[in-house]
Amino acid sequence: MIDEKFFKGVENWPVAVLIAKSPWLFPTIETIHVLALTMVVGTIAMVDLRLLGLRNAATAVDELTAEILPWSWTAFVFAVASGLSMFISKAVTYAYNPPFLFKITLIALAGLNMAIFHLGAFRTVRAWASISRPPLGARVAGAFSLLAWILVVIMGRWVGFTT
Amino acid sequence: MIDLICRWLAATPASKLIQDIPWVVPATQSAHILSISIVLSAVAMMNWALLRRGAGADIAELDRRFIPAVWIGLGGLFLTGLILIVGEPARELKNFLFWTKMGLVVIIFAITWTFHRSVEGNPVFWQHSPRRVSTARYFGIVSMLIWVAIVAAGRWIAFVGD
Repeated sequence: MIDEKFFKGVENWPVAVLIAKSPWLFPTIETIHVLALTMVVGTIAMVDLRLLGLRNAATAVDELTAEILPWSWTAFVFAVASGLSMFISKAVTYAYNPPFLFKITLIALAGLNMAIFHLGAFRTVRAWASISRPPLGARVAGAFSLLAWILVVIMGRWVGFTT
Repeated sequence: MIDLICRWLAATPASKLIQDIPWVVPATQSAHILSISIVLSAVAMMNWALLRRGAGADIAELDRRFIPAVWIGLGGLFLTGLILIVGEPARELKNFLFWTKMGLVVIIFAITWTFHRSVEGNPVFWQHSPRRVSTARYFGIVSMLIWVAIVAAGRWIAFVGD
C-alpha cells in the first residue's frame, strides 16, 4: 500500500486544490464522468451481448467490434481523465475507500479479460464471426465482461455513498 | 401543494421501506445509471450513423437495431426513477432541475416516438428528399444534445437545492 503522505501530496497539487475548492468543477467533471462511463458500459455491453449470442445475431462479430469499440475506447479515455481529476481532489479519501479499490480492481480484471479474449478466441474470429452463437471462449469473455462492468457501475455509485 | 405531496409521499409505507433499507437507494441509482448506459449508447450509435451516412443510412435498419434498446432503457429509467422519487420525494419534486429533466424527457420521448412511427409507416420516409435527409440529421443532433442535457440535469439534482 502506498503511503498516505503520497496521497496527501497529490491533494495539494494546485489543480487538485482548484477542483476541491470550486463549487462547480467537481459536479461538472462528475457529469462528464457519467456521460463517458455510460458510453463505455453501454457500447461494451453491445459487444458482450453479441458474443453471448443474445443480440444483433445478424451482424458479424468483427464488423460489430470495428464499428463499436472505437466509441468504447474514446469514452474510456474521457472516463479515466474525469475519474483521475475527481480522484486527485480527494485522493486520501478515495485511496482507502473499499468500493473504490474494488472498482479499480474490477476495471483491471475487465482489461485482463479483454486481453485474454483478443489473444485467444478473437484470433480466429473470421471463422466464427457470422455464427449467431460464438464459441465457448468468446461467450465466457462476453459474460465476464458484462458482469465486471455492471459491478464497476455499482461500486462507482457506492463510492458516492461511502465517502 | 408540492410540499403536501412530498410529505404525503414520504409517509407512505413504500417510501418508508425505501428509506429504511440503506442499500435500496444506491442500488436503484446504479440500475438507473445502467439504464442510461443502454439508452445513451444506442442513441449515440444510431445518430452517429445518421450523421455520417446521411442519405445513405438505412434508417429503417437503424430503427430496428437500436430503438428496442432505447425503449428497454427508458422502461428501466422510468421504474428506477419512480423508486427514487417515492424514496426521496423532496429531493426530486422540489428541485427545478428535476422538472427541467422531466420536460426534456417528454420532448425526447415525443421525438423518438414520432421518428419510430414514421419509419414504421414508411421505411424510406426520411430518404424521400434531401430536405428530409437534413431534417433527420438535424433531429439526430438535437436528440443527442437533449440526452446529454438530461444526464447533466440528473447529475446536478444532487448538487442544486430547491
